[in-house]
Amino acid sequence: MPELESIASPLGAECDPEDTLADILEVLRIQDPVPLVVVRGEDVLGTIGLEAIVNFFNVLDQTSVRDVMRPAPEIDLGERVERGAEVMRKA
Amino acid sequence: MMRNEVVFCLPSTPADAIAKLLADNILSEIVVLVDRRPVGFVNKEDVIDHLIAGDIVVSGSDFAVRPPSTSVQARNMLHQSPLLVDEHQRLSEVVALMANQERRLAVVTHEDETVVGMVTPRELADFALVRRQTPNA
Repeated sequence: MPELESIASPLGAECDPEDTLADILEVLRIQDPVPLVVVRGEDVLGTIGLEAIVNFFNVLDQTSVRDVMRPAPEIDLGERVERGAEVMRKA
Repeated sequence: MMRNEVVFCLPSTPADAIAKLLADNILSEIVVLVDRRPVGFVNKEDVIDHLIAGDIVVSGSDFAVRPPSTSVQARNMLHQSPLLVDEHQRLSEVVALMANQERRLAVVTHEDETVVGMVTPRELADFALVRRQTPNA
């Protein structure tokens, strides 16, 4: 079974939890399907993907990343792909 | 603003081939067609759940030269009622439908119900970016 190392993408752009969806829209679109990493200082707080804009399409400039980001589970690079998928689904 | 191509699969399409279609076209859902008519959809979570269950083997992307690595097909994961919208429907209505039904794919149809395009979060983002640059558009 392949390990996560064989399929993992490098982390992409970062954003702040207080950014609005309008602030990050362009980067979100360019980087899709890789989500942005939500960070505050050294801490990774979560991720946000392009699908988040659907529910807030008319209020992108009033919706903060903090309110719609997803948790970012951690897993070792040597774990199996199936285990990584399971952790993502449970997050 | 819709995507003028329709990425689709058949009820008999193997799950690993669906995974590649989803990944190659950056989709979270794919419409299932029979005789060019939409009969349902499969989403990426369905495929991932079968991967977790061990029903799909991760074995590369050379679908054209090797037999399917799974017996799971689209028909085994099919959700009925794909989100169909008319090609003349207002964008605001399409977005509301996608949000209310928690969908990431709207299949755009002609009046005879043949599919003519797709709307995904990518098309919504492109529209929002153009709208921001040209507020009167």
